[in-house]
Amino acid sequence: MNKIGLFFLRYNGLMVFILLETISIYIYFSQNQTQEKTAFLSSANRMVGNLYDYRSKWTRYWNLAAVNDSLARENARLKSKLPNAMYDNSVKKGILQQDSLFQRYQFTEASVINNSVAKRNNYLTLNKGSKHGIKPKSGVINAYKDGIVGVVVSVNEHFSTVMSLLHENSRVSAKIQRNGYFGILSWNGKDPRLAQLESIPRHFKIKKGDCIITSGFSSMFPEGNVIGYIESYRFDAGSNFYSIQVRLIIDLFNIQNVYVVDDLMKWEKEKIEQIQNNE
Amino acid sequence: MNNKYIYILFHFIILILIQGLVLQYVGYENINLFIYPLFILLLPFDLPHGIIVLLGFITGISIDIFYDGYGIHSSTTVLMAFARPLILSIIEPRNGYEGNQKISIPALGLRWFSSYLAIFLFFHIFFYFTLEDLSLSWFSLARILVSFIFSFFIILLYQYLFNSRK
Repeated sequence: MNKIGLFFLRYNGLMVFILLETISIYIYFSQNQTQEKTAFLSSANRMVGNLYDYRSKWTRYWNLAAVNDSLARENARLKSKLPNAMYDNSVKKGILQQDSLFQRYQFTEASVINNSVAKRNNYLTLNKGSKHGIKPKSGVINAYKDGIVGVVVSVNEHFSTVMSLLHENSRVSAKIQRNGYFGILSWNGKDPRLAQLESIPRHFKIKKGDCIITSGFSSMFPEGNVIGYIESYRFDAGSNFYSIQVRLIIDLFNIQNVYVVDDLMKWEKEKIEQIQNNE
Repeated sequence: MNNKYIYILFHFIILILIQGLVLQYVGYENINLFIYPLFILLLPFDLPHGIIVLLGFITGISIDIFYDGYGIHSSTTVLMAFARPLILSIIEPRNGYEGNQKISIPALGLRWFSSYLAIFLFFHIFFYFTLEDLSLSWFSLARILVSFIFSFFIILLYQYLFNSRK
């Protein structure tokens, strides 16, 4: 058996090529389609994750890192106490009772230890993983100020990878703050500072400088997080929809601290929506 | 003999680390810089073809892990490793290669080396970006050209600085 393998390696480059090229192409196309990815083949891989961790420790001023971490933890705790992280349980009684707010979103702070904006499909690596309660398909938002970063795609014990907003398959449900029209935010692969808002019908009135916020329709991001502002818009000939350029509020190139959003009522929401879909 | 293989392993680790920890962050906007194809480029002449393709796969998968590429670098590198003998035969000097000759600038001359590097690197970058975009446009052609020019000079510089002995 061993001898046959050796024979192929020695004389038959073509066979080895066909075998390995099929494997690579298969990995590329199968992994690109699905949402959850194999952690072993990404930088959530333990060895590379550790390497990235060391590098970011060297590049960061070591004393600041410790201070930063404690501040971020404190901030995440405070942020989950804000009203927009709660589920409003009051039923039009005029006054908001103390016990009518339930915890809906929970925020876990994490540091970005690897990032890219230069590719067509960009990913980030975070220094927190399943041990810290991070789950796939949860949203990632920027710490300290508004702006969204992406969606967690794979998780292992200590690290997780995030599909950046700057990705071919990234779709975020967003709306215009002034009048509530909602559309889908995606990225066309060109300028990392501009994203595109689609499916807003052209009979709606919009104007330059309108604020774009998260809609809260998906359970990835809480409602009302500012994403960016309308930079420009135009109609394509024959289309019923605007084509809108949105200037992102954060520079995805230099994010360091993020919050991972965990929707505690996700299961409940998905279950009720599932009933509709099945009918 | 043994020494040669230790050198190849050492070179592999160095190039993967330069690519994964340094060059990955130097690229601007849509420009990517490549140095790891140099590993396949410099493998000795007397290695069997199958081994070269296998080493191409290992290199590509390692870079994929750093880049979250999920197979894109390994597809490209396996293809280029397979095409290496073809490229070598196209630009073969008049008196041929010697079996145990080392591929380097002093051994084969700057002119030969830069045409070898240019052909190899251009097709590598071309396949990489085509696989990434799955279409061709003026925009992706511009990316290919700029990435190619910068990567070419980085590799030449690297060769001069660290690998110029015979």
